[in-house]
Amino acid sequence: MQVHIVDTTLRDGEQKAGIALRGKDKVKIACLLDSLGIYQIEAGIPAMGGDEKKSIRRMAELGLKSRISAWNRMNVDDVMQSTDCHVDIIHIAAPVSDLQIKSKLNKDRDWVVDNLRRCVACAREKGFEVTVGLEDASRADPEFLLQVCAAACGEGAVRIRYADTVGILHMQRSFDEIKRMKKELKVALEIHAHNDLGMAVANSLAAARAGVEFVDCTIGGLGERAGNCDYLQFLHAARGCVGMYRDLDFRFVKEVQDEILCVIL
Amino acid sequence: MPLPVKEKSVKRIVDRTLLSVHDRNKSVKRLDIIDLCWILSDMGVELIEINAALLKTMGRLPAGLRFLYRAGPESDDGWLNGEIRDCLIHKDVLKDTDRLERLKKKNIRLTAEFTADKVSDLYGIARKKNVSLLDTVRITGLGRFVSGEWLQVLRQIKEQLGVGLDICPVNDYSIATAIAVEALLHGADGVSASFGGYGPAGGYAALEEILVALKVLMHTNEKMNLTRIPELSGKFCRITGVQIPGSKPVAGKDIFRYESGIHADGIGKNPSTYEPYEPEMVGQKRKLSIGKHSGTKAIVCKLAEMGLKCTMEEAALILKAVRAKSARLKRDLPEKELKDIFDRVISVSLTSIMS
Repeated sequence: MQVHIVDTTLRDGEQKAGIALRGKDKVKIACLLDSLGIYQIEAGIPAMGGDEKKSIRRMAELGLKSRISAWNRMNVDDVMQSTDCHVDIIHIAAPVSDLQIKSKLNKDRDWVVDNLRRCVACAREKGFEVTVGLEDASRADPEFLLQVCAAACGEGAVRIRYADTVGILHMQRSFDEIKRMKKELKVALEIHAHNDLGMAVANSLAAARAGVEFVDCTIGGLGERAGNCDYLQFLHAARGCVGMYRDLDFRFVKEVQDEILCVIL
Repeated sequence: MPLPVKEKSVKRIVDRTLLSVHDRNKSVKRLDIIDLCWILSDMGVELIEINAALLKTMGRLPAGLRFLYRAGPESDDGWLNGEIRDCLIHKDVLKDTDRLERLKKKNIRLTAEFTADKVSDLYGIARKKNVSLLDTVRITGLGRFVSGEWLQVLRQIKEQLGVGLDICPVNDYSIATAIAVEALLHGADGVSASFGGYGPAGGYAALEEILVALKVLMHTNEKMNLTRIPELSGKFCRITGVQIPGSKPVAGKDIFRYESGIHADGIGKNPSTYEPYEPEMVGQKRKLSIGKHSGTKAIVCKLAEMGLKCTMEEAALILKAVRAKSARLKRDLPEKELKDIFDRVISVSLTSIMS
């Protein structure tokens, strides 16, 4: 079993109320994450403009081994801001639960599918690698999830992120959902778990066992509300429970984690 | 979309907080312990685990509460003449048929504790001598149980023995709550846990996370007053000196603080968009913070809370200043600082109108 880590400390982690990073802090953290061998750094949200956008562009220019991605709402203006930053990957988040589609956007499912197609096509036309996030997937109609995935992949998205936005998955359900998607889709899958009920690490591990190729983590589990899947806890659980990361230098990881947390807090 | 619920029976919750607290600090005051007992009971705990040392500290047990007594050698069975009706024995006591029968004659409900560190450890439980005399089997360890295989074995034990199953996972790998929840969804009758997972080594499943999972995922154990969690947290912190992190699931004081524009917008329209349960359920309130990730709508909303009005253009200018200051200071801005920025922007706005 092998997974790549997508670190979203600089995006979801920074969204935690009270956390605010300067551009130079984000660049420093990106370099530290790169030293850990993190596959992908979700650097932030270019649509915020100003220093946020500038810092993402700087990170993309650093020439790190880690791939730099930018997070976008599902709108073309956001996507265009990301293309300005010359990141490696553009991530587009699509609300997929009826609750979010109706309450947040006041739209319907057809609009989500059409708009997603437009956004993915826009990024692909500019030559970017695109991943699509299914926001609030754990409260969405499973059939609609597959429909959204088909639309995203049809326009060239190379990876689908399953987001347990409010942290209500449990291990077996996490495993079953990913297994089902693996069976129906021919695209790489990613898990983004929130920790509202204290199960983000377990759910991420279950998804990894089911075949996700990418796991989203944050340093210290920082993130909205009770946070995200804690990177070091995930590594520790993966080693202890399923034998991954046997050769990893955990002491080094802890040192880098502590250094990053010093920058943030 | 609601989750399918496999088992909707009321689950037995056993608290291990007091035992863990007292084990670490024998000078805990009796009144503090009694206070915690009542709060735990109100929160939905059915049994509070105690041992001989804790019983001595407590002296007379409060009437109306149930205690699970961790029995030692038979010579210490003086507690049998008191109010305790539930007893936890080590699995080796199962070899002592006479003692078991004496306990059963006294109408004591028996739980025996087994440890399972791998799935194969579970298979032997049903074959143990006298296990059918038990009311409940508690299985502890379980810290690495991530596959579905063990859940099937759990069901087999339950069906073979006809006993209650209590799951007490250790948290060595930060997954104890998830293991306990999975067991409850697959037929376990109850869970033993502690507040914040407090306990020796890696600790246990977090009691408050289990209770919220029972309510939100399993829609069972309706009579739980979880609004007392902040009170329990405060007393726990005072007694133990352990601080609960602000982002601790369910009990952290910051878990309902939100700032990002996207979340603020969603929560403003319908809090369920970004909350799995209402903060009031766990005795908290949501709080809008203003900082680097705020949007203009959040600025307008926060100012309105403060009794102030501005146009969207002014809000955009305020937001620009908020973001710059927030990033410089690496934190969100309290109301006073927001008001200062508001005053500056409005004064510039008024000056340009008048000139």
